[in-house]
Amino acid sequence: MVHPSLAAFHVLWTEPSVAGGKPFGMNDAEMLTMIVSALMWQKHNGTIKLYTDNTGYAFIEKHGLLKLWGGGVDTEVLESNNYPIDPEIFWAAGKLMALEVQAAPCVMLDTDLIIVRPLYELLAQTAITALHPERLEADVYLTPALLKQADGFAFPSYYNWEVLPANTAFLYIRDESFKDFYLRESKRFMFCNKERPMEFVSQMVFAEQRLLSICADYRRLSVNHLLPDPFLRSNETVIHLWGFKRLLRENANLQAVYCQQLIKTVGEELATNNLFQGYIQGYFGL
Amino acid sequence: MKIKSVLTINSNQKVSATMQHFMLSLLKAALIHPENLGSGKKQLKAYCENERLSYRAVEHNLDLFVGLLADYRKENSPVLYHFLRLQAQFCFVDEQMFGSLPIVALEIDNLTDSVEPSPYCHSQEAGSSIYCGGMVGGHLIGL
Repeated sequence: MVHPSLAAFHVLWTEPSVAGGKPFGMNDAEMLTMIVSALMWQKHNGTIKLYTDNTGYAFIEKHGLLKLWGGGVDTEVLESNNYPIDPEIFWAAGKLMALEVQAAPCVMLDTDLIIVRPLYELLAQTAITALHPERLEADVYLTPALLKQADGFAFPSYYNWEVLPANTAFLYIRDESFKDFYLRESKRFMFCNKERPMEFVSQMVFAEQRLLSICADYRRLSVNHLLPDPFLRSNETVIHLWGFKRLLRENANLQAVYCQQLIKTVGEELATNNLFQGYIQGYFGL
Repeated sequence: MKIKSVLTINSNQKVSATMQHFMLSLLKAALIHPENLGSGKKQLKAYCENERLSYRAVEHNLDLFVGLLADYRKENSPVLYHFLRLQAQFCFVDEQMFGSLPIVALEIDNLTDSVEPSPYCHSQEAGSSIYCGGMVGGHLIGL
């Protein structure tokens, strides 16, 4: 790489699964996507680190993946965190806990998202870059009156509820100051907010995705996006499993074909990468 | 899951036209006369030897195609159709040849429209997307 390295991180927080009474696990397609995500980031953009908990650590150790993240694997941050956050309601809060300790500028990267080209020049122009804007679907992004709130909590009057939320499967933040403000607001909403919603989407996407845009708007910062629309065919940068994971989980044949196709797609680029070859051969028993 | 074929067979690998047509006939058999597939596989061994291909790998890819085809017929999902097209290439059946197979393509042109939109995805990973079945950048892996 001829440009400066961009520091990214993955998060594998198993507490939501455990709290929901389900053993943590990833299927082959999810696992391969995570492997490729880490390797492609390191090939094109810079370093990557994993934040996980003890259960997640045992899982990746069992699968021989500990060396996948050149920036190391941290369990301290998630294991020592005792924030009063319900992991079932706020299932992505682990990402925000990791973001809190990760120095800006940094990239928060979901494990089901692969970046296939260098981003440095694009990100260098921006203070905040998320994956893509989200529509203000009324069933998903609830009005303030419908959002569950902790006792004594009130939404600040300066929140602009008209701004579009941003999908944070990819999130670049340049400055500590904004990062701290965003996380402070998010934590304020999540802390002790334990009333069960009818579904487990709206509370989390407010705390993570809508608040990002609201905070940026308040600070008069624009949120840039890697993609103006998630499904444009002009996208040459991002592969994101997103809701497709649901279909993969339901169909083992689909998983196998997807894995073959992904390996075919990135295989040439990672052909000389010993980690890739090792993981593919080791994990898939080739 | 076994994807052993990946390292031994690349879907871009060149094989003879004879092999291609034989594979096409096997896929057709899978569609129309699945009862003939067993005898077709016996012949497949000889073809693989001639082409210096791993029989096990080719058979695996054929079985995967047949399995996905059964899923497609059961679920009628356009997403599966796209992946069938990709899997056919691992069986040395290119896009043009695939088009000659009697598989009904559902009328969609991308994964965006391919799955019933749902405003609520009652899974954590589905996030806030209304395109619950959609993969972003699917075209980058050939969809």
